[in-house]
Order: sequence, then structure tokens, then C-alpha cells
Amino acid sequence: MAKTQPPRHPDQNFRDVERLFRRVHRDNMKPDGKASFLAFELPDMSVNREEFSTAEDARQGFRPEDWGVVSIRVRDMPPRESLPQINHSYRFRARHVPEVGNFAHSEVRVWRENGAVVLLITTRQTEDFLATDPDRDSPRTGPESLDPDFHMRWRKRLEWKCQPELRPSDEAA
Amino acid sequence: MPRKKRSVLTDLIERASELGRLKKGWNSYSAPAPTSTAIGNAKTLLTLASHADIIPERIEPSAMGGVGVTFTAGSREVTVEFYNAGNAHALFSNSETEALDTMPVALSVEGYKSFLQQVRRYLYGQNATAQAP
Repeated sequence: MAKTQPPRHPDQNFRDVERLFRRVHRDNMKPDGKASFLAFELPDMSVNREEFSTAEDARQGFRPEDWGVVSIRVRDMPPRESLPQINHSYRFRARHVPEVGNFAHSEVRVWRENGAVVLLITTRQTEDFLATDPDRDSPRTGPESLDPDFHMRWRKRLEWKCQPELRPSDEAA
Repeated sequence: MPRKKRSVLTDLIERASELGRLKKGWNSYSAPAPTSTAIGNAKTLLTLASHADIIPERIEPSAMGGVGVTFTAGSREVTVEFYNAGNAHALFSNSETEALDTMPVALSVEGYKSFLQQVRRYLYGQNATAQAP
């Protein structure tokens, strides 16, 4: 159930302290309740934003025995990843992308930067974006532009920063 | 091969086979199902790791598409991610220092052996016979 009455349109303002909730299968959870970095994906990683939902919402409709929820604060999401010997770098940002029945749905998106050339990495085509999506007309490239050297490091940093919210078998609130 | 080690290896290989039954979207989002190629590569590594006396801690599906095999010793961890496309990459991490390093893994017996030597050095230092407690 939504915590607050949602506005009609997506809200692209994310507070630094806002948590992003991600549902994680028990196979991808560590004993301490954190997610293994293998639970995180790029590009377009789905999360639910705290502004419009709770951790319990993220698990609604899924077996509590098998699913947990972790959170990442917006300020803890590594905003950029670069390596000294490589020209390009990657920039990350949360976007509010409501879905039918899940207004809180958001995505962590990634851009590849090489000097003045900035490309959104995504599997989407223009028509797959909401009309209000700020990235709808951005120059794009596919997931093949995502080097493992970068995405593995970034995902591992997420693992270290993420916090357990609901562990598998926890009683739903 | 000692019975205990054989049992752990059998369990891990069985677990790898189970991952082959996952469907697209197994993570409740849009993760691709692990392919037989990714699982087969992981099984080869598991077998060679067992022969080299380096037992992985876990094998799990990857939301990126593929499977991951993780070796752990204290704060140090090495995870090799076998992708559905047929390639593999490893992440060396230390949760205490937050140091990270990556490398591609060559998918051949020699490539795996070389990788396992690096895993051993990273996790256990120069004590080549050391094993995780």
C-alpha cells in the first residue's frame, strides 16, 4: 500500500536519504541479510522508491519464505565509476518510472561518458519510454557497452552499501 | 578424493544443475535464465577447483544473465561470473579495505588453472597448501 497519495506524474526528485528497495531471492542473499552483488543488474535496474512505498510493498505478492528486500540510499549509490587507464566513465542515476499497479517503480540507469559523448545504456527503444520520461530522447547504446570491469565493481559497492530490510521468512508487516 | 570434499563438490555441481531449471525472470524482474553454456563452464571450474583443493563457498544465479561462483576467506572474496554469452569475468574484493580488482577468465583448462592459482594467492597468500577453515 502506498505510504502517501501519489501525484499524477512521475517525480524525478530523489532525496539523498531516500531508500530504494529491491526484492531479492534467498539464493542471492548472504547470511547477514545483505544481497550478493549478483542480485544487482545493469542497465535499468528496477527498484521501488521509498517516497511512495515501503519495503513490505516490494515483497507484496511474493512468498516471504523465499524473498527478502534490501535497500540502498540514494546518497550511497556510487554516482560514477571510472578507471584511470580507460578513457570513458559511467554515470548512474535513479529515475522514477511508474508502472501500472506500482507507482513507486523506479530504475537505476547508467550512462557511458567519453568526453562530450554521453550515451544512455539501455535495451529500450524510444517507444518503450513513458512520454514524460526525461531520457526518452537521449542518445542510446546497448548493454554491450557495459564493461564487466565497471559493472562488477559498481555492483559490489552496492552490495557493501545495501541494508537488509526484510529477510526471507520474516513475517510480513 | 576424500569423501567430504567429494560430497561438497557433488552438492555444488547439483546446485549448478538446479540453476539450469530457472526461467527468464527468475529474480522477479527480467533476469535471463542461466544458459547451459554458463552452467557448463561453472561446472568445469568447480571440478578443477576441487582438484586444486580450493572449495567455493557458493554458486548462485546472476541477474546479469549467467551464474556466479564465489570463493571466500575472511574479508577476501573472489567471484567469477560466467555469462550466458560464453565469457567470464572475475572480481577480487576485500570488504575490510574495500579494494577491488577485476580480470577476464580464459575458458580453457589452462585458463581455469591459472585463475585458480590467482584465487589461491589472493585468498591465502603464499601458503599454497592453506585452505579455508
